[in-house]
Amino acid sequence: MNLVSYQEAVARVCFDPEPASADLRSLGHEERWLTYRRMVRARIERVLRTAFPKSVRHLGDGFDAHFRAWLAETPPTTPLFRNIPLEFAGWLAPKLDGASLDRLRFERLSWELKDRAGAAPEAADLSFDAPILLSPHVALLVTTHLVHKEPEKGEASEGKRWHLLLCRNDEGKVVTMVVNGVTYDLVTDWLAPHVSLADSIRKTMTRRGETMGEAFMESLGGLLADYLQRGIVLGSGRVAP
Amino acid sequence: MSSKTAAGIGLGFRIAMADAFLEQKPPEVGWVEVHPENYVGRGGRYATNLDAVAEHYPVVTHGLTLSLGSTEPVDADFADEVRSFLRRVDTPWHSDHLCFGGAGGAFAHDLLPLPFTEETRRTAVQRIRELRDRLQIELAFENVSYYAPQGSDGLDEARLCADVLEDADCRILLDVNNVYVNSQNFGFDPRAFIDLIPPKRVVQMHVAGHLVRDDGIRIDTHGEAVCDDVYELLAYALERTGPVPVLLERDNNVPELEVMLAEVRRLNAIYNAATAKAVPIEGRAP
Repeated sequence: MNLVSYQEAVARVCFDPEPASADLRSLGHEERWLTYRRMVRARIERVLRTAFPKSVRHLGDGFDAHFRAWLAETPPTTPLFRNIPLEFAGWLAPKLDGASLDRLRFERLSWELKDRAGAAPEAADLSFDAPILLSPHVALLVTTHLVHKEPEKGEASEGKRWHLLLCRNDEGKVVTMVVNGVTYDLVTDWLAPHVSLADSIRKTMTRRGETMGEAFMESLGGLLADYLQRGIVLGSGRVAP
Repeated sequence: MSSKTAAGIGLGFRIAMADAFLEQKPPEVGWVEVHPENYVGRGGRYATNLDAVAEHYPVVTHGLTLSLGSTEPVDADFADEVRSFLRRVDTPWHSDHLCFGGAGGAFAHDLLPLPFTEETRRTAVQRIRELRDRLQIELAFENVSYYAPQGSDGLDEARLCADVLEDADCRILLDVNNVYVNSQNFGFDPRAFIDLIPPKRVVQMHVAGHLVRDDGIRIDTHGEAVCDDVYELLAYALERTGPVPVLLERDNNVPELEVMLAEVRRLNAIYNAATAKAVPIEGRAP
């Protein structure tokens, strides 16, 4: 057996649903290669369970079946161990729906955000005439099932929309906040800062058919102060001269 | 050459002990080792911790996924990312494993063993040269532990390592624990293995703990304390090589920092005693 055939046979032993007798025979020392199979699969499974604890719990035995099928069909290709869950989620998402899909989307985004690169850009003082500058470690998600936490007593777990804002704090932890639809629309605009803060507010209010009364402006001021304090809003982007 | 010199005993810098380590900045640790794969393209705690530790310690890089015996094409984009990282931390050399990591595009994230053959030698030499050119840095390979027999006797691996070292004109990160684990699993003299490795090619060493399974097989877990036999083998190796940096690896069951520092202090004592006996080697690469 040449080196290419040898390496392919070892990979099959590791990833096939059941290792082929022919591969084990050709490699020799069957039990030792099965040790490798167990070690490889256990390590990969462990990172998935770490990344997606809620999904794994809710899928139950289904997770094991998905895991086996994924390894057999499209085993990891990334050299970065932490990205294995992202590959798995990409494979699994089209096979899920309902709460299972929402839960996976939420956990996937949380996992990605935890390590997302990108230094906070330099910001100017907040100005209504300039685009708002958000932390690069902020993301939005809408779910139609309550998946970001366990439901409290009497709390509905479906039948509405949850607008979620996820952000990574200074300690590196991902924090999830439930926001209202207006805030969600505003932050959506701020994630792609091409309009001034004032224009983004006008655009959102027009879209929602609401008026900018005193109460709204007071609420907006409170929101911006809170987001500045949390590091979600960094300030305003510098306007090109 | 790095602006900070890695010398003496280093510690694998891992997230599990990062906070305690950065708070204490223990002086008995001479340098730290990091895996580029844990940092490239990554923000958050990893990035913050790396910046903090690099301020105080020389950083040496040790890769996990370049798979120096793989028959797969080199992932050029990834290698370029690694190169940028190596420059960023100013590592004096980079090491990875003489193994393969998968086939057909699949990645097992384990150090899969190579057969000790002429074809493996050719493959490894070519890949090491290619990666050295791409990374633009001194490259060393680490001898791995393996659990399935790969040669006619346990010293075939040492002969393969020696051949690759000469033919690729590269260095070796001599993992003393791996030599010991393999010697126990496959019944050969670990000192004879070390005798076959040209001392001037040794740029760094690793020590770690391993697990002894119920069936007697030893598994390189990096999850236990270093055993006395490995300490003794380290002393033997250092007497041959002279003062090359030694790293304590601990990746699993990470204990309190003080427990690891006690091991570091013991390693320092062994290091000082052994290197004092060592005969200077001519021709050692800087």
